[in-house]
Amino acid sequence: MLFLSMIWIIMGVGVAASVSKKATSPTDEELMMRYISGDYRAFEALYRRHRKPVFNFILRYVKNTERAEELLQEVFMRMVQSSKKYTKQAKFTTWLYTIARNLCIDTYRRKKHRHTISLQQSVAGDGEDGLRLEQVLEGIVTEGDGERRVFSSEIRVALEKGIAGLPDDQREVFLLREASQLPYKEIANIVGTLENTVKSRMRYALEYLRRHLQSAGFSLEDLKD
Amino acid sequence: MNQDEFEALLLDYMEDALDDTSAEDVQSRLEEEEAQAVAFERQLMVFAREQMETFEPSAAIDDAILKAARASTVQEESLLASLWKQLNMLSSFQPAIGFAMLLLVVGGFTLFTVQQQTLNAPRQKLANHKALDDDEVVKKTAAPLSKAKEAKRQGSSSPERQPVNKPSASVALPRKAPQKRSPQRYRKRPRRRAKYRRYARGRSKKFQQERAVRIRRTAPAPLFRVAPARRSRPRRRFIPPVAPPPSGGSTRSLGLDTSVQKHPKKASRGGGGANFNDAFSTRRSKYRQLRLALRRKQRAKAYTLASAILSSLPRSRRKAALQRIEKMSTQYAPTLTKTLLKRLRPLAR
Repeated sequence: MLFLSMIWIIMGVGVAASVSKKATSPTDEELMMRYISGDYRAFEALYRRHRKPVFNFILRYVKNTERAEELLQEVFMRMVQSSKKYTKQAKFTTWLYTIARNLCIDTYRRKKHRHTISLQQSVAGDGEDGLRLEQVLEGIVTEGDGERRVFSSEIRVALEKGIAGLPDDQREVFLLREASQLPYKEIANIVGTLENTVKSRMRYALEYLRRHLQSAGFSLEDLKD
Repeated sequence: MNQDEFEALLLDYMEDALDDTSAEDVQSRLEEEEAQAVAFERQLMVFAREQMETFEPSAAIDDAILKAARASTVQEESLLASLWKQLNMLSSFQPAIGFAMLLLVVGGFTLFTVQQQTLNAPRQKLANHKALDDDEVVKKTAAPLSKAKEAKRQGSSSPERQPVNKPSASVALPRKAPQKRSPQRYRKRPRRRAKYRRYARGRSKKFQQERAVRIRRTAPAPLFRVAPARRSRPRRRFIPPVAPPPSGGSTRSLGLDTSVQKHPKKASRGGGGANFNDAFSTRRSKYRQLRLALRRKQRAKAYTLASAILSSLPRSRRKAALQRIEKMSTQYAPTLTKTLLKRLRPLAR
């Protein structure tokens, strides 16, 4: 009897533990470790979780949708290739964004020596549906039967233009903070500087954007609306 | 709060990450223009977070990435790993494994306990009996003992013979009716194995001999017989034996064997003579033989060997060899030393 009761108690504890484990979703690091041990589904989960923020970061960095998609693909391929080097101590987002940033910088350097494709050309040459940064920057999208204003608020366009006009170091900090919502400490790790430097870059970026929006005629009330 | 601290706090203030007191401090320090700018930037951050357009990669890119990742994963994982993974994916697998492990542990423990109890049952029973009997023994043995003591004190020369029992269970207990089952039929307490018995057995000479025989018998015969490796012996130049010392008298008087003067081959063919003077034997073995001869107090043999050693050496090394021989002689045959050295010294000059 004693043994039976012990079994029931232990089983109860085990079930409770498994239920509580299931209730909290696994962290990025756990998923990554699972993927390293051969669980493909873990990769899928990681990808679904990070594809959007990473893509937005890359897109606003390189300002070209096709290039951003290529880079996104490359980022995750690099992640797959170098997954064996990943250690659990490292924060996954730091690792992933570092890869993304390095690729963006490489692209930017190469782009200097190449012919730059204009935003107009990119829009015209693409037959796919969907929203593109180039279109956002233009403020206009072609959809079906005619032109229509996609953005009721022009403030978004102005903001995007402002972000596009930011210096690279400030833009990456701003994007990592606002688009990907990473903490300053992690941004400092990704960028490879001190946390205070990151904060001051953020301050400069905000200042620049404020002046840009104010010069475009937007006030504090416009932002609130 | 200095300017640097204020700058550092400003961003946290804009993000509402400061506590109330610090936020009030920052707010109080802000001038009107600066306050407006900060408010604008603060709102800008909120706007950027909430209203900024987010883009999605195309479905084709998603498919390509996932396909590539899957391909690389499939390449890496082995069949066993995939099976394990599939099993793990089953929701009931892990609890089932856990339950099985638990059963194994609990079952093992139960079996062990039951076995222990079965083995110790007769002993426990006996122990219980003893515990009960001891009390009875005290009661029953106290009376006769006291009687005997009293009798002794009274000084009776022949005290009434009383059964002076030791407090043992077997005697004190009233005789029990014979049991139907003899006690031998109970399972005996398992004999405790002697400590280090195996070790001691392994060390015994008899066991080692037996083992050697067993190994010899059971060892498989080699497929072909291999000749034992022969050590090549350095060929040595034949050195003719040294002539007897001029002043030492005849060899016969010393008891020397004349065969030492023969050629070694001839000597071996002839079968006679001592082999200690064989030119092919090494100097080391000559020393060994010399030591033996000295121990046995064989003067003639010792002399022959010593002279052979000395003559086989170049003149420059003979003195040292003579010293060594002297030392050896002093150690093993001090009575012979004087005579031996007397005869050997001319050779060492």
